[in-house]
Amino acid sequence: MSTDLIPPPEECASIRAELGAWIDGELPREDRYRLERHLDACPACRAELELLQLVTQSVREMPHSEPGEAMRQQLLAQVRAEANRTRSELFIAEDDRVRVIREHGGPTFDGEDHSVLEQMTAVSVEGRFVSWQGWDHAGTSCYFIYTD
Amino acid sequence: MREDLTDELLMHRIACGDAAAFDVLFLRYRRAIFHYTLRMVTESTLAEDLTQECFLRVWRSRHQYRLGAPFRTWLFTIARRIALDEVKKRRVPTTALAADTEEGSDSRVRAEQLTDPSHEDPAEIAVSRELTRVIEGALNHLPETLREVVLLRDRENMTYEEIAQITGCPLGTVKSRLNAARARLRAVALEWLNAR
Repeated sequence: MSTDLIPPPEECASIRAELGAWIDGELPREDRYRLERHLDACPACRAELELLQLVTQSVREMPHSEPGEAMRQQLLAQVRAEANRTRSELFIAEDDRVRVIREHGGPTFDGEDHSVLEQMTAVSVEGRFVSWQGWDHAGTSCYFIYTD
Repeated sequence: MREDLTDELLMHRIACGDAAAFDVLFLRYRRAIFHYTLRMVTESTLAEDLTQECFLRVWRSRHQYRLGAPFRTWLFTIARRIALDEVKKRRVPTTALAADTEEGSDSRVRAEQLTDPSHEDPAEIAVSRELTRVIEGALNHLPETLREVVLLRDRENMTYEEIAQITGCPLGTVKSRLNAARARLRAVALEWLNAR
């Protein structure tokens, strides 16, 4: 490559500030083309890119470890114990958040609160049934009922 | 329990009190959460405790999970809160490394060799492993605000948008922190390469 095609050094500083975003695939298309054209012509920035790639590769290759099986069993035992206490639950959604208002010991919803519910409809996610949903008489609170 | 269910669908089952669905999610993310907390608190036993606490909080907060929201982002938001609380409580020592912005032309050939997958020479592999250990040490000494963005991006392959949601920072801050973190790691890598 002829030296007269090498970009001016002041351009290199702005390019190097974007190398990380380029590696991460986070650069907009027009900036990506500008950066890649610069890299084609600038050996110093290519060397900088290679060094940065070496760093990110090293982070990815750091050894993976995992918690022991004992922790899993302990966690599961705790979760199962708590699950058995509340098999079927009623939720209320307010301000875009869902929280429990009542927990039932039985496998199906059978509390007196059903009087606040209008017609129940099924809620599906990706084609799978996940819960029953209903609104109170005022139409202000949304209830979800999950049953096994 | 089918293990190919999406995280979000599993969360719906967990909200119904399904412990088997919880186990699937736990197995799916235990390594990632353990690794993240380990890097944040730099102590294995403590990281195990925090991982357990994180998943227990997932279980107990299952009704706060917003229907349809990305589970992974929610999970890491919980893990981050727990890890940072612990860092503050225990004041896990972090030593900021001096940023070195020196140019890296001397390391060019070595960097090319180490990043080229065609180099499968055992000696090169050993060098690569050694550099990974060096970078690992340097990462552990980054301030946690810089360390966490590197972990979420380079280990968990998260987008800047996801990292912004987890950390509660603007996108520009995520990007500038990543650049600052990588500049420090780059300086350490360069120093190591030049010293070889």
